[in-house]
Amino acid sequence: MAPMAVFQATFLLALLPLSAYQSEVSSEPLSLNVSISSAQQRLHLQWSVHNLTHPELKMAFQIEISRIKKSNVIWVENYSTTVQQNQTLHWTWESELPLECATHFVRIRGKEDDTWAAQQRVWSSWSSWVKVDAQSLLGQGPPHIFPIDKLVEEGSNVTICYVSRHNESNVSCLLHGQRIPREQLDTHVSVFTLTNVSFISTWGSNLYCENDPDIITGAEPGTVLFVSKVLEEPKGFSCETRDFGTLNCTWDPGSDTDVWKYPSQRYALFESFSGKKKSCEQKNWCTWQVAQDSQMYNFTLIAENYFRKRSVNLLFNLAHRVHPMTPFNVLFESVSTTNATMTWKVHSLGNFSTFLCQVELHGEGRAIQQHNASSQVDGQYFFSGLAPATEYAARVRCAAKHFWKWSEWAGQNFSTLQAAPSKAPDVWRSVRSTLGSCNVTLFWKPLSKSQAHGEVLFYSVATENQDRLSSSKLFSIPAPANGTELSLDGCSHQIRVTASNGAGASPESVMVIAGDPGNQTAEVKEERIRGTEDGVSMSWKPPAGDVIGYVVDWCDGPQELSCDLQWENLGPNATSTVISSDAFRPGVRYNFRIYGISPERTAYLLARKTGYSQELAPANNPRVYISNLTLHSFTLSWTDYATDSQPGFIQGYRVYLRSKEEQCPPGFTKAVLPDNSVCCKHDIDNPEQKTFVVENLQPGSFYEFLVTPRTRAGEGPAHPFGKVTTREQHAHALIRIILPMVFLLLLLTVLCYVKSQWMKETCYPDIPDPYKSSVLSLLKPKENAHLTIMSAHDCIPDKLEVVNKPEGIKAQFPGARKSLAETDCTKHDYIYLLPTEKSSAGPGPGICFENLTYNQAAPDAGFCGPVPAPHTAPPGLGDLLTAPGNLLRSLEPSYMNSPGETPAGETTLNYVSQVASPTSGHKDSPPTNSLELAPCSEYRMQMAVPLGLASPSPNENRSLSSMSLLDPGEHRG
Amino acid sequence: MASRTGPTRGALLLLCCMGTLLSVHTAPITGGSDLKRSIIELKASSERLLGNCNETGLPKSTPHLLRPFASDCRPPHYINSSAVLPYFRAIKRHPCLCDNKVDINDIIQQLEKPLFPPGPETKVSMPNNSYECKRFTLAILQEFSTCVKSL
Repeated sequence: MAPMAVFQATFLLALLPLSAYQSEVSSEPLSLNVSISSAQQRLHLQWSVHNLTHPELKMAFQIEISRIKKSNVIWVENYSTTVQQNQTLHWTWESELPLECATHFVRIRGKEDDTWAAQQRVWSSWSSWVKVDAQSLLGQGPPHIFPIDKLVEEGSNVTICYVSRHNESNVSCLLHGQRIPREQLDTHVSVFTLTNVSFISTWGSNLYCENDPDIITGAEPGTVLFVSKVLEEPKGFSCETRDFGTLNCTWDPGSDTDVWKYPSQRYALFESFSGKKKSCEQKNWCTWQVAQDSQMYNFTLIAENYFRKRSVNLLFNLAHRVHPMTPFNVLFESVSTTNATMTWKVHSLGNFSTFLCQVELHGEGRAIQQHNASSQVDGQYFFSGLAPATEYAARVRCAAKHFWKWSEWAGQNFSTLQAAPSKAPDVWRSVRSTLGSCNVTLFWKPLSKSQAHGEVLFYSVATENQDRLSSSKLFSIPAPANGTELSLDGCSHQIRVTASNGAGASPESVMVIAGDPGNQTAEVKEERIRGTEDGVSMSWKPPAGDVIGYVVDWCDGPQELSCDLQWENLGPNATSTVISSDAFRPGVRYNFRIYGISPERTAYLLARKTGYSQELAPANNPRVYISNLTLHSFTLSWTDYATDSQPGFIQGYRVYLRSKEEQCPPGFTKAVLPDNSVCCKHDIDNPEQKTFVVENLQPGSFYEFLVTPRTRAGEGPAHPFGKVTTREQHAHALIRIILPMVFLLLLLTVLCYVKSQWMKETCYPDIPDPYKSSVLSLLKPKENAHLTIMSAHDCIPDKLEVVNKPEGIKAQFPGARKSLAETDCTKHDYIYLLPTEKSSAGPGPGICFENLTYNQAAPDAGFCGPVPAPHTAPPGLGDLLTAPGNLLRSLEPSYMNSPGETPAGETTLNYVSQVASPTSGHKDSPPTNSLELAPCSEYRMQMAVPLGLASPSPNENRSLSSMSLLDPGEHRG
Repeated sequence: MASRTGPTRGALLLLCCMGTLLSVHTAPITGGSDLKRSIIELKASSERLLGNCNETGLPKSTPHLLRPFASDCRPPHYINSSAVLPYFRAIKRHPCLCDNKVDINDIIQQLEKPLFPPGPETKVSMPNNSYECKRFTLAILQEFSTCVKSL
């Protein structure tokens, strides 16, 4: 036991100093204090080390940070520093997760870190965990989102958390409308991670979270993420001075990294020689005061914002960075018609007083002169070779001797003085002579600006009669007239024209008019010319005599009446020219006259040309007439077609012929029209030929034809086609037959019309002849002896009574047919054929007539001559006559039954007859026709009744209307 | 006989209230031409302002910390400037949604005219939280736009 006790005591003694030492240097760091910077998501640690063995000791510390629970260590930091007695140490940790999102725990331990104490590096014990619980400050309010108003740099990653007091599983967050992926940190904290965030607006990117209860309450939590652009290095950093007093430094800052809530982008200038620094108020320029004794400058431009810091350097000599001020007091002196002197001043730069200046002269909108001039503070330049009466603009700019930059331009406008026009006006004329006087219209072209040398005020026209030299006149035509009209006494005149401005008159333009120009025109033949792309080309033969030049004139207008006379002067050696004008239009014919100008200034006509600047194809086809149409040919003519008013020279015509036949007539060839239809064509090359005979055609065939003119540019439109059909071969024979027949028919028609009355009486009399009645034809075949036609010759009238029936009296047969009054018979005469005494001795048949052929209304109308009321029926007939129905019934068998069926010995005879109108004048009418009947004669049933029945008293007889009572003895079968 | 109680009486009351409300809000502006012109200007300015500041990314719901302006938009004064002006002055002091000073100044100038009788103004402070500030500003602009449109 003793050795064991000794060993134990020795071991304890050996450990004692070690433990004592450890208690001195590795004691637990005390007073660990942790504070929160929520906006920066930082934990600030402060601690101090107690019982330091030395006044100053290099130590190492190890810091552990846990999240949510102590065992979940998320950060281990080794931190070394020199520690002094009673010193408070600081260390900051920045969390990627907002501190409000979770509880954090921090602890620390330390050890000596000096090299001499290497063998004694033993960690102290850990401090106790310090709990950082930012959530506890949130209380029980609505849910929150962290971080709040966080500033991040573009491209970084950001973690956002949604903190609620309740378990949240359905929350979703949106960044500017875009949903963000969610992670559940714990039961009431959701985490959203944004990667590579981009700048959206200087007002920040809005983010909010949706959860049903929040939406209902309108308390959807959110935050604004301020994304700053990445700070760029300044570009184009440059400094210069304009007055040797101030340096003006400029640069391009690039993208603005400031956001609304966190403006942190700033710039500063640091000059290393002087050691001075200046904060710049602007982001793209800054000023620096020049020191009197400083020529060299070494600037550093420092750009920084919340996240970054950048800088650029610039070293320069001040004399090489001089940008002179704009020259001033620019003036013009000694301005004449062609010269001017410009003067200016430059701001003084102290010792640097020599400048290089540049002067420019502008006229008509472009630079016409550019010169460099060395100058002191006062500078000048002499411009020469200027045009009179011309407005110029001159400007000047200067640079220092050591060229750095030009100053801005300083300029001034000026005008040179006027001079007399330098050139005689270009004058031409148009002459018309009438009855010994000459009407001369003068035209002149306005002088160009370079010739006028100022505004032309008027033109002077002087005329002098060549025959009487003393007779001269002077006219003054105010500008801007470009012509005048003169009425001269005789055509032989010299005309002089000058243009005058404020400085004087131009040289004279002289022309001599001699003789009647009309004669010249008639003598010169007109020639055709062709237009080209450059204009209208023409040439002429030089005249035999001397010429000092030529003039070609023409009218720009298409018509002579609206002639806008144009002319062109040519030199004496010219024999051809190409006339071009903006007024030339395609398809318009222009007439040109070429004059030679003699040394005496007399113009005489050399040639006349006519042509087009561009020929066109005819727009219309001529109106074509057809004549001489025969079996095999017809003639086409278009004689009224005006060839001179076409849009090109007519070279000829093309005749198209179209038919069903495949073969073309001789002289025609096959052609294909633009519409791909095939036809025959024939070309007429003579433009004056305006008729054409189309021959060798088929008789009675249909042809379509078209005549279209041709110019050099093409032919006219391929429509419309005319139509023609050649004569039929037998048409003339048919006409020889048809025409006489038509004539005969017409003749017959006329004859019939003339003899219509005779024709009517002959063929269609108004009152038919009973002998010709069709009823008769029905009766004849029965061969009934009792049925016959009663002839008036057979009747021996013994008494005639004419009864005039008063108007308005109606038949009084109740229930019988209609009364006569209803048939509009107003007056009736009835003839009663009463039996003679002989025949009246015994009963005999009576005769009653009724017309059944013509009186269709008879069955309804009943008797035409109703018996007047006072009349009484004869005995035996009373019932029959008073009861027409009975009468009819008694008659009906006679009508309906055949005569053969009539019982033999029957005393009653039935006759059916017609009574001709006495007015018909029929030659076969019986003598009784001489009796005058009423105009409205009726046809009546005629019936023969036994005379025994027909023995009425005279009164009673009167009641037998239209009844004939015949003696049987007189009856003839 | 059926008594007019319960829903019937409520419906009648609602009808009367709706009629009164409609007649008030649809009545033509009876003020002078200056008042009409001011209201036209306010409509235009508020519409422009709302168009410029209508940021995306903000919820459509309105926070409950804003008193609606609807009750302030009716005759005889049409706009209760003492109720509305403090909000626009606050927006001008503390812009957080957009930077349209011109239209905000126009609205303030119009509302400061004697056409809209002044009254005691309340102090309005904008939220420090940018998100809440934006929602508050947007709600003010929407309320005011609705108010002037109803005139």
